[in-house]
Amino acid sequence: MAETPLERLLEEIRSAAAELHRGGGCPSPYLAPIVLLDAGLLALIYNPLLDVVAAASSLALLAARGGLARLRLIAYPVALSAVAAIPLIPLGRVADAVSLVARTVTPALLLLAAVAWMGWRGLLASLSALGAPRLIVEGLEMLLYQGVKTATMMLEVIAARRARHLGRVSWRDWWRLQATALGDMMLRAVREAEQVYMAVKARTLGDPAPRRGSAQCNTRSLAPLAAAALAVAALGVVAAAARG
Amino acid sequence: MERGEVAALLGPTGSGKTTLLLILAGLLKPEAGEVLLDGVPLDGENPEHRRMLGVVFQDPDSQLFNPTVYDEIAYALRTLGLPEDEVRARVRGVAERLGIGGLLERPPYELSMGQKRLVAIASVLVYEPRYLLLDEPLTFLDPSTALRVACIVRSVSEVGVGVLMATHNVEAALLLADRLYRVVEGRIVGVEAEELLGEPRSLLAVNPALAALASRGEALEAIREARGMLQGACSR
Repeated sequence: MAETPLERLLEEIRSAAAELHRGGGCPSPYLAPIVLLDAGLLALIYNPLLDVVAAASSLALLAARGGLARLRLIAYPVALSAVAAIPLIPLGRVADAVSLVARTVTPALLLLAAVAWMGWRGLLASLSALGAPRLIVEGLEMLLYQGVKTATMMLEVIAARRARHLGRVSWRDWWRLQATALGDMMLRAVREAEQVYMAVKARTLGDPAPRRGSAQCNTRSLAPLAAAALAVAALGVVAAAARG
Repeated sequence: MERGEVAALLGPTGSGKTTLLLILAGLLKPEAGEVLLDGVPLDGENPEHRRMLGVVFQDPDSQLFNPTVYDEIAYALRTLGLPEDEVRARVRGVAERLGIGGLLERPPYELSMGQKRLVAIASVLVYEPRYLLLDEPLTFLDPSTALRVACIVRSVSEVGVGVLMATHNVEAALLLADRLYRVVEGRIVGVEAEELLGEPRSLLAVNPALAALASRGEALEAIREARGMLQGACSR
């Protein structure tokens, strides 16, 4: 049972990573590449469309299985971007501050919605089908898996320390517990990384073959992809023009 | 060690058994000396050499890094560039043989320690190495899973795979190994079963019944009988 904010955060990260890891299949061969390209285009270029995309993504996320639980994850990019935007407010740049939060939150919402429907592995299979380097795809795949393991390890380390602290835990003790746990975790992380490296090396028996994901995503034709990207770009231009 | 032979490397905690196993697997470089693999100096960077060796770590958690059990077992075969149909057939075959066919779609981090151990073993057996290096293979296992692993060790040795297991479990070593080695003050020395049985103090900590048999000179006979029982249990 998580007792401290750090432990609650770690549990949240662990269950989020595990939930993303489970994922679903890929419902359409073209959906993932379209979603990924759209996220990149809209977030970086067409600022006026962000609110529409954010709203649509939120609805899509809520409609997916477990979407409400995933929607809670958006609190983290909101919090982080809000903290980063705070210095802009005393300077009178409130619109810029809002834009910063929107540009951070919108792609996160879009990505969450995509993952909720396609699954993390479906998304990675699409990246692989698009020709993304194997190092990146497998690194992203391992990120979630190791994220779950690391969060679990940290929770155990903190719980072990708390179990042997027999008196009342003051706020000073709390900081000390977390700090020593983090130091311990860094050392364990190095050792874990060494072990994973040896495990990967021991079973890499040839030139690594192209990744074969279990989701059925592929790029049979670039035409629908190009058409979707052009449609989004056109929509963005129209929306920008309409808002002046 | 010879192919088809099961050898056990005994030694107390911290004596260097794991380090030696990793050197034999080509994952660590020795400070002195060399490892000969079928008469050829072992090159850990050579995939051909790695294919001849299968190593199962003491902590299976450190060995598993793929999203599902299926991907874990298939990993080595995929790096060989085998067609996915063949990969699927071999993965399912090994999984059924080890009794983990129902776990193929699960992520490894959800499994129990015993299940992880079986997955780690499966991920190595699937590419049919010539030599199997096992680090404490029976640790953390419940009796039925330990029996399954013991049966796997015996069955792979019967088809010509050389097995070296590092362990401090004297009973397992006596039950499974054809040859025994011990790490003594940084050196590896061969040891006979009678010698181990002649150390009632160490046996007493592990198995008082075996220690009592040893004191009456009946332990060797009991071990022979136990090996026969193991053979019977594995064939059922």
